Amino acid sequence: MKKYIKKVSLFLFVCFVILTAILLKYGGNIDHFYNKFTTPKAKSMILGDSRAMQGIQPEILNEAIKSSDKDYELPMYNYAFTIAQTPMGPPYRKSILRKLDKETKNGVYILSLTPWMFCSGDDYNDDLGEFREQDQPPHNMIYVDVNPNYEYILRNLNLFSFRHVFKTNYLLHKDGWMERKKLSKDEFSFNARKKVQKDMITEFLDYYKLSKVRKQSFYDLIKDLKKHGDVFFVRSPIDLDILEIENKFYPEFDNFIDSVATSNNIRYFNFTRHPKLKEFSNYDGHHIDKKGGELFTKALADSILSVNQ
Amino acid sequence: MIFNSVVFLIFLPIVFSIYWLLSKKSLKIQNTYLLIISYFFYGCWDWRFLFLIAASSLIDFWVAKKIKASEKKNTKKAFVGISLVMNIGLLGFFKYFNFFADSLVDLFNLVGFHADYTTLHIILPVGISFYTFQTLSYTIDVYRGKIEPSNSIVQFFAYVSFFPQLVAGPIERATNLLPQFQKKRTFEYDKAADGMRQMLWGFFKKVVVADNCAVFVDQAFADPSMSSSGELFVGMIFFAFQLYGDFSGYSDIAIGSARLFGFDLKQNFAFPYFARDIAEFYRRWHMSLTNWFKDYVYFPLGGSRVGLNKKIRNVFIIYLISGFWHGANWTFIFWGFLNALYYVPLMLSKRNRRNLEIVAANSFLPSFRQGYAIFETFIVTCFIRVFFRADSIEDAFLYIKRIFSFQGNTWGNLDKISIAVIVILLVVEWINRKEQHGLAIGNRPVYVRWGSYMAVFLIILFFGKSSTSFIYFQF
Repeated sequence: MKKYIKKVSLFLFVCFVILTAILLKYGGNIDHFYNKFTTPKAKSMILGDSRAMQGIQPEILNEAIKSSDKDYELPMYNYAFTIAQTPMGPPYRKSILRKLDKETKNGVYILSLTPWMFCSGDDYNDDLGEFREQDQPPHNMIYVDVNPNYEYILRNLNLFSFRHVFKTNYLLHKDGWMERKKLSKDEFSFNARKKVQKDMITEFLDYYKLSKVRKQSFYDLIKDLKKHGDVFFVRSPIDLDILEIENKFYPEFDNFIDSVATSNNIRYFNFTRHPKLKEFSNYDGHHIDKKGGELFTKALADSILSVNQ
Repeated sequence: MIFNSVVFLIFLPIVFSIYWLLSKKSLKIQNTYLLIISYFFYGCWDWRFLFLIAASSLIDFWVAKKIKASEKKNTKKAFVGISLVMNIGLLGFFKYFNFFADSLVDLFNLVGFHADYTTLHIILPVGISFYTFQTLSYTIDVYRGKIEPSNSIVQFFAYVSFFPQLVAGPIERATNLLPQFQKKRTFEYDKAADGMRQMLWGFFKKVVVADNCAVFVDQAFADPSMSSSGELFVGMIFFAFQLYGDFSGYSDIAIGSARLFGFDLKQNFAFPYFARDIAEFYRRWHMSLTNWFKDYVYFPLGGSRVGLNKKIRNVFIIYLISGFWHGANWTFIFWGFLNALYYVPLMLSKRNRRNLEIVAANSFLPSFRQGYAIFETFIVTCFIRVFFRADSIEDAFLYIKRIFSFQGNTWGNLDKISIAVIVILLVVEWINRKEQHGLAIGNRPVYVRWGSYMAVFLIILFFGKSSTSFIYFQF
């Protein structure tokens, strides 16, 4: 028995070492979210869905706003996921508070908002505390700041694709920003990707309904974050036809965000009405590409700085 | 809890460690413990069905005792009848009720009578096709005097519910497995080490071969009218490997897990894709089911020791029942029918027992003739399997028709990884074709063994995919 345990332990140990090495070196290539749970607690954060995860680059923000008179506690951390994981709600709020460094007094919190983040489908009853995102990361995680994060592996092994070590088409940076790579730039590919996004969002129209519980959780989150610094609302730039679908679903969205912003003394930067909207290039009508993201993030940083001047 | 889940990978070492810690105590403790964890394992799917398996076990335990105690043959027969009615009845209700009701309604409508009924929402208890056959074999073997009835209810319940093979086999005979529950198990290094190797190979077959092929197969079968002939042909070939990887992978993990606990389960797959004819193929594919049908249906019907007509009838009965066992759908029955059609000429020409030994037993490579026979058997079984996979017989015919329409000149988004892993599978299994499983390399030098373990682990890690089920769970 001893011989058996020794040999099996040796085998498992070697496997464990290999796995750890891969996680440390390629954690940002083999899973869309893994790296987000391997960094220390954050003092300043970017929050939202995939538009924020891919569109707002913390490195640029850090560089730009470190000169602010407000002397914000940096660095920024992109703790945005996708609409499947991070609609507003108690689960996301709880996870944000786990990732947040509670000692922070003067942080920056950018909430990238879309109408879909305030919605629920019929399959789950929000009033009873049932949320469609509850079994997904980051909500099925307790530890969000350990490296390597074995808890994430144990709970979300099915999300990993280790073969991406050889062929990467995305990179989740250590600051939480996801960079899409190797995207074909021809018009045909763009239109094909855009069609996928439009079809998805059109399906949302029938599926989603606004949720009071999610809105309440949004108010709660604002209160929580304001204790630790300044909060800003952002609506990311997207193509006009996708924006039209969103506005058809929730025509009062901007008014709603405006009113919440006003009542909480928060600034709302609506980039869907930005004069340079077309310069914020995207790769599918919905998600900003690397270059567009640089411009957008700089513009966002300028907006934040202008508030503080 | 499925084998290819993190939960199982945590469950197994814990259960294994506690089991061997208890092993110093007594047989009763070993069996009681195995019974508890087996019920826990099964309860993870749906705890309500624990009552069903317990009731089924209890009745067969009682029936077997009554058979033994009865002196008159008719009384013994009556008790076997109770077991048959109960087990087949359970299977019939949970698996086939809606099929029969639907078919009856269709028949009435076809002859002009208007009939209607509402389908019952019956959930198929996972593993029911496997454990009912297992308990049936027990009562029949007690009746036939091949085995003594179990005196311990714990032993018998543990035998029926033994967790590695409970959900999708191998269907273990009482004559093989029950005696192993009657003897205290002691830890054997070689057995446990080989069990681990077999499990590792099973994981490779399931998460690498089957789950990679599944992506292409699902696309091809989703709407054959949208795919080119090339895509459909590849989809059909990949389905053969998906099914083999999925089911034989499950069997390898089950047999390997059982060996960790000191049990020897019967081999369920003996490299069927190296078979040279359909008869050999089914002697090597899902062997526990084939042998079950042979012993409890085919031989009682007279087998091949009857007149020509009856011989042919028996073959059709076996294959049709086998098809029906797989599922309540006409596609499975038609699949069985085609298998019988393929088998009968072989039997009539008395060539069905020509290939009893593994191919190229005395050489490394097969002869050209053997290679051609393997290829032909494989291709024909692939075409027959289209009926196994398609949603309806019409869909299957459409699928095959489109293959031969030679429309479209693409092979689709052919995944090179799937092809590579199929080649690895075939090469490794060819090398070890005389062994019990593909990774039976216990007698090889240490660097070959450890090199192989690490290579398989890395392939699983890098090229494995995750699915949430095994195909045979639905049967």
